[in-house]
Amino acid sequence: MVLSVKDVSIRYMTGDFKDIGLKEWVMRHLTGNYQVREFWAVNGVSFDLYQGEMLGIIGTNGAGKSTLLKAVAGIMEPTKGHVVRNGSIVALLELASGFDGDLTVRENAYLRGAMLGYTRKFMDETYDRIIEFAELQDFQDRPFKQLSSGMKSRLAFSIASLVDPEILILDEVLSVGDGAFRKKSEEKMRQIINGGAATILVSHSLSQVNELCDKVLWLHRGNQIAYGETEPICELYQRFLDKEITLEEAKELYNCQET
Amino acid sequence: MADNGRGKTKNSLKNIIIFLTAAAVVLACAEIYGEGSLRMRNIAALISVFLVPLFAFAAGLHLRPTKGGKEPRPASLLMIGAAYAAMKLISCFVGVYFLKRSFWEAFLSEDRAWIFPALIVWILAARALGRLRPAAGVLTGVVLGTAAGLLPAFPLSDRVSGMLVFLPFFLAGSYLGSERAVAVTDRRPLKIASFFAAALIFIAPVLLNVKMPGDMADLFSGRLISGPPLYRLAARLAAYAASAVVAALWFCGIPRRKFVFTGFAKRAFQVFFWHSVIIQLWLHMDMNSIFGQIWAEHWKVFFFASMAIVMLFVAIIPLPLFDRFPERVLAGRWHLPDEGDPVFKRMRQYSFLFSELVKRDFKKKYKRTVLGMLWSVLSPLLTLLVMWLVFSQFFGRNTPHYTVYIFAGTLVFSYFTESTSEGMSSLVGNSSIFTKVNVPKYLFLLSKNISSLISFGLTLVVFFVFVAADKLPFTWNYLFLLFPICCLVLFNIGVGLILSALFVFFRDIKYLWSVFTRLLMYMSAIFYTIDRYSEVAQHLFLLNPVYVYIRYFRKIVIENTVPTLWFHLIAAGYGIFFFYMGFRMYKKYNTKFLYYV
Repeated sequence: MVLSVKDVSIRYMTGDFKDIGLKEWVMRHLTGNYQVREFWAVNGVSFDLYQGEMLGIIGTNGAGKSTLLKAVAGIMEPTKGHVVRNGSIVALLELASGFDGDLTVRENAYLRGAMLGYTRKFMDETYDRIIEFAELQDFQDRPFKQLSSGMKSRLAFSIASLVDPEILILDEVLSVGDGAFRKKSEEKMRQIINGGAATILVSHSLSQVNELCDKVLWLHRGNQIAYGETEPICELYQRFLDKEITLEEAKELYNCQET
Repeated sequence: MADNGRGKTKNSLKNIIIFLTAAAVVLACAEIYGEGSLRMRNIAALISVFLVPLFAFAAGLHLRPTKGGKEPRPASLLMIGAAYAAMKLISCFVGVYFLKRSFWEAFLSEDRAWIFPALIVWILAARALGRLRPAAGVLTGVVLGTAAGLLPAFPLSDRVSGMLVFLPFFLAGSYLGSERAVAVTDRRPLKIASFFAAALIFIAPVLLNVKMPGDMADLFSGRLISGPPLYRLAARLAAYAASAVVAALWFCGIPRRKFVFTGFAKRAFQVFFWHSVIIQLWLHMDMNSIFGQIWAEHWKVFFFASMAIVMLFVAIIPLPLFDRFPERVLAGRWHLPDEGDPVFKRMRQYSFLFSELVKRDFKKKYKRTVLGMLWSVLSPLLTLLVMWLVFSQFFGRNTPHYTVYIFAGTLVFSYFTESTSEGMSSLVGNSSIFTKVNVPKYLFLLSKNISSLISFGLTLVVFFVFVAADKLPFTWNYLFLLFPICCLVLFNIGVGLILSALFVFFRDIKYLWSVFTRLLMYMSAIFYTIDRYSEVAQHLFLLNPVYVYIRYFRKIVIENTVPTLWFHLIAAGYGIFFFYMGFRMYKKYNTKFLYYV
């Protein structure tokens, strides 16, 4: 097993002292309105991932997908439960953010490479390839903020796609750039996935999930609705999206299928 | 399997021969070192300084069964030898500066070559017994170590206290010796025999006439042994052999059973290691000098004060560089690029990121300025100009070397304000990075600190130009400036860690801090002298860490005197304290930052 997520829960606190500031804190105390609210972004999620497998995570906006991925990547500590990783992990989350607008494309590429854990030697060797893949040859020494958003994500993808991890986390990165680049990037992604990494894919494109994933995890408001074979879950999810069935019905249907 | 075993025996036979040869060279050097003509002693001193620990460790490493076919790397041995040599050199400089002796005198003053193995023994006692039960090991280490240190103070008969002092070595050596024997043969009689054999080696120096010294320093030095030359030679031989054997046994024992230090036991172990290192430094002082006499009188104070400092220091061990440092050194894995070591793997992985971050911070700092990097020199100079104009032209102050006096103040103070106020925003400013990628967050603060350290370095150069222009003499004392700079770096990082953590939760701190630094500036005696205040008030100034560092600079540069030991302790204390607090804070809130940025 490469990755094991056991009963992971993540809690956000809203309305505590650090969140609302001193004035608000005093005011709320005076008006008797002070209360700390807990918000469980992820609530008791478990799954296992084996080598070479691909897990799709689906769910509507605010289902806790990104938060869960942060816990898996080790960026966040789960409030409850634990994550066991056996191998190097690379998380490609919200690719285009985290760049520095004032630096040039070249500097940003190196910085990003460093963050992803590449060595300087590796960056020196592959820098030309990265730029070529991102089709940014003419922009190398331009400040990053002058780039269009499509170019930014193209660069981000090109750097990130050099990774060779045991566990790979992809958050909506397959939909990058224009049509031509998207095709290229999907091909590249498939190459990495076929390289034997265990992959977690978050996508709103059900057809993509259906096509690529071995297993699917359906989250809704932090709760685990279903986890298992791809097709039946995707079908239920589609029906749920089309408002044919409610969440409860979907759960019931899924449990019936299981037994 | 059988083949393999035979190969191993052959290999270890070869290793034993190497080891014995090494031991013989070491012993010969040690003897010449004590006696003989000056030239012989010089050569022997050089050899012993550089080679004694090298041989001891080499021997230990060679005797160690190789794991996975990995040979000990020569680099690590060289590093250990170099570390020892560096220690010796530092102590020589201390001799030169505090005791006003010639370098060679200081260099040759003491033969303490075998203290290094003895140190290992001390740690070993805790370690060996810790295998049974970690807490017991630590306790034993504490009790035995302290006993060994304190015993000479009691009026026991020479021989008895001598015996007691050697008891920990005796116990540890025999315990390990027997353990090793069992590991090899699994036969009980051999275990018992080896226990007594090892015991005999350890007790030998005591049996052979040992005069008990008046202070702890002598305990570890060659002076411990007195009597006719032949006796001395024999006793020394035994002592050297004993400690070398222990080192070897220790290395043999290690890979077989991995003792994992955790929590308190780990910290305590680290305390002992570092403390031993400090003691080692002090022991290199000449006991007949003034400093040595102070040491002999107050060694208990020194002992416990340094223990306290080390304890504080050890509490910040999570830094990768220091983490498991003693174990790594003793296991001969001190070189940086070690594939197998997760700590160094992380360090190497992040060193690239770190250098990129430093580059980015430095570039961004002067982005779109006409003069660029020149500003890091220019802005303190302009501050200086303003202060000089206001205070020497309008208020007509006539403190000697007033320009340099103010410059020392603004130099230190502007470094402090720059690195802390820039460091404050390091976490919040990089939040878009650490919410997406799993990187150690302290890197952001450190990179900010490095870029302000670079500006500080540039300003320091200009400062020296001013010093030269003011016709102040340059002396070797200037080397001491490294001390307050190191303390200042620690202090700034610590304050930066505290501020950056607070800034995540309370943005108000930004405004409060700017007011506070203004206040601190007026409290730091940057443009005035404190002579006209009462003595009590002057002492109160020492409560301000920034003032302490400024004062240190002025003492060296303007007064050309090295501050007292107490002053050093205060300066180091502030640095270490704030660094410790900062790191505690960082550790505590490390996982919480994410929710608030």
